[in-house]
Amino acid sequence: MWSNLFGPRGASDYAREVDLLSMFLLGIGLLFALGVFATVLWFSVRYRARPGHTATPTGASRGLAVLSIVGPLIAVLGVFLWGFRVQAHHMDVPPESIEISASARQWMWTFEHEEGLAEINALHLPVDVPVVLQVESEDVLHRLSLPAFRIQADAFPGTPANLWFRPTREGSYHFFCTEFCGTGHSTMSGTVYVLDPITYEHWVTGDTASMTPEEAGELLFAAFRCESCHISTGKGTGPALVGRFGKDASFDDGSTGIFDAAYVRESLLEPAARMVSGYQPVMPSYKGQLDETQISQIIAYLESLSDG
Amino acid sequence: MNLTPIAHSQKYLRERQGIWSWLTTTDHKRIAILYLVSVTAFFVIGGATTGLLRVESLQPGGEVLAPEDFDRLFTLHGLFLVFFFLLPSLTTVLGGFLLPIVVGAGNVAFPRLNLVGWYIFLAGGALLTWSTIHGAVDAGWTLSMPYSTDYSSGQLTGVILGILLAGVSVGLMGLNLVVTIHRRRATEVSWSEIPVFAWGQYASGLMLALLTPLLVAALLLLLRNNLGYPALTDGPVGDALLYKRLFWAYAHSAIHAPLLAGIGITTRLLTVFSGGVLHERRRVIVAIFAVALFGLLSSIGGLTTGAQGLYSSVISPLFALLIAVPCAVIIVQWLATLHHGSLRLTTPMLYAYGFLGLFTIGGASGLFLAVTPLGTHLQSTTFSMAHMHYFAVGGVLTAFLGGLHDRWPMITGRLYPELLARAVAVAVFLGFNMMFLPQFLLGYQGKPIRSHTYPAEFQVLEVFSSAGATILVASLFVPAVYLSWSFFWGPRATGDAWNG
Repeated sequence: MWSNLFGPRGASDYAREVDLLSMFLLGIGLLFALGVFATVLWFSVRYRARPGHTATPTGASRGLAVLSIVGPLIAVLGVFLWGFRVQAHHMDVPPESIEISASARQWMWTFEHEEGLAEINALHLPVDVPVVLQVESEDVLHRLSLPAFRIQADAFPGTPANLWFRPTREGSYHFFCTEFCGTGHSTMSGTVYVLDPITYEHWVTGDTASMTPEEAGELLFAAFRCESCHISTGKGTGPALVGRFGKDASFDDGSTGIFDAAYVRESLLEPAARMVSGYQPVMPSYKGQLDETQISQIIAYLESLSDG
Repeated sequence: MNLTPIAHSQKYLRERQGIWSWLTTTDHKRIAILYLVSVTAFFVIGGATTGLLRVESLQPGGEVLAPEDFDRLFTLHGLFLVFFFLLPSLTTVLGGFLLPIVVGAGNVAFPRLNLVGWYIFLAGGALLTWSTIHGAVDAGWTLSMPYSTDYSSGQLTGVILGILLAGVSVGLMGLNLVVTIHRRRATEVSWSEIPVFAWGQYASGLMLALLTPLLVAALLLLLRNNLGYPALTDGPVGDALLYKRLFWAYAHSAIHAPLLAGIGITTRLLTVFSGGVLHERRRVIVAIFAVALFGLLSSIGGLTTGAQGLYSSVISPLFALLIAVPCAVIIVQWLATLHHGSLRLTTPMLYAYGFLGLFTIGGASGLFLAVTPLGTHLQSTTFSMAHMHYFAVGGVLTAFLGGLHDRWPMITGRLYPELLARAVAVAVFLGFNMMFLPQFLLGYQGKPIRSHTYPAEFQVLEVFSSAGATILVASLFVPAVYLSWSFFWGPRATGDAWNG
């Protein structure tokens, strides 16, 4: 029931504490609201105006009046202390945390790992290791929201804010910008990939020596979340890439060509140069994000999608 | 019932004829009618955007509107509905018409200021409409800096001046009503005899009047930046933070202020249509002022998840939570009023039930936002949007429609089709809940407000929400039609309209 109503379970120990608090509030809120609704319905039937029935209002007894103050007062003070405790417990950042800078600008998030690796609109993290995100904006106000971890932080220009959490479940989770920041606001989202420590180590150190170019390309393709736009059904904001490599392509300037290595390379570095017909120039440039080896690995991966 | 005799009460409609007699009137009843027409027109503009926004939200990819059009629409939606319906409707229409009558004042304390206020309000609405036609803005109704000033194109200056005028006019009206109670009430109406309806208007008017300087300060700061003259030495960044705090200190309290008037109206409706007497009215009045006080104290510095001081992280949430206590007191007093009553489920009573339901859900959801860890998680998600709609919009809407239907025979001397009106009251409640309950769930999953696109797994709840919006918008259209018909051609009301 929890996962149906409230989305995926929390993916950190802090999220579990927040969810407990949330469940308690939901319980007392439902109890009160359903009690009120049931009372109104009951009174509406029991005391409905009808011939022979006259109003004999009695008002609230002193006991009920005191209860209506003391009951909610105890409840809200209890909830306040509980919430304060959860918050206070979360104030101390564990010394073993890894630090990642989260930089916002219209309309993308760039995450830079201590090892020098940068990611756009994707964040790879190891499971069970505390993480500190240093959130900052390069232009307007943004806000980084990681709902699976039940946390948010403002991204102000020139004023970094720290956000820490400990992912406890492997998986992929949405993140969003929750401060309206312009036309591309709703596309300023991405995925947090929580990986087992060994895979994370491969990823973050770029240790792909043991992988084939296709495997390394697949890792990059997932890491940069290419599949979120290049959906295989063709319904994404970019063209589907399965089976496309090596085939004819028509471009929005009326020209035609081959969807080959040269075109993929051009698209990664200067995406707006030639758009496949029917698509808008919304892809960000990966110039400076991918080196020549990585571009070759992505090309090898796309080529493998067309084999057979 | 305390209804002014019907035959006498709407002489104001016939005493003087012609458009000029309306445009120069200082009669509080006529000015309230002018406000009624104005806020209804602005509500229609703001409400129409709801339909388009919900159509757009049917598809995760947002395939009907271009992103920039979607952004302009939700900005218009917020600006028109907050500044031109939510804030003014209960104070200017129902307060302006009824408060001088129920305290035996004859007119408001400053009749000319009342008329000038309407012109200021209208000028604000005209400026906002002009700005909308000539490019609008896309920064959301909060007009956050530095996006609105440095990165957004559009008619920001016109919008700033438009909402500045609207905010000032509402503040002036609030002040006018407060002074009316102090200085103009009949000598035979002692402080202890002032009805809860009037106390609701008092608390609401006082809050709006006290808060207006904050709005003026925030908007002037925004205007300076828009014209290229930052106020603080560290330039736009410092100004952006200052603006955010000033604006939210105003907005968070101001959008809840009309709720106090709504509590007063609903108290009257529940009392009158249960045939009862409001026992312990002092408890309700004290609770209304406690809601106002805690709301004011919680607003200051309470809406940032950035670097937090002691006040914003501890004290402010505590006051926000404490609002639940007087709210619970009010609800219990209402239930006690119904107990052993003789309940007539008339249209106003159904709207009062609607207010009670939305107020209860809105209040319960407010607890989530007031507890710091949860509030941080849910800020600027559709959860907080749904809470605001329940607590403020739903409250004002049901109180406004309930109060208007209650007093319609007195205001116009006409009746409306009661059965149809009851059906609409039920549909409004159902449509509202169907529209906004799913948004709580989406918000808990992290869906941001003002999103043109969203992950596909949110679609089922979004479609459900849009279905509710269809019911709500269609339902709200019906009273506009039958009340307009009733005004000109409805059956004449005689005697006490509710007791025949």
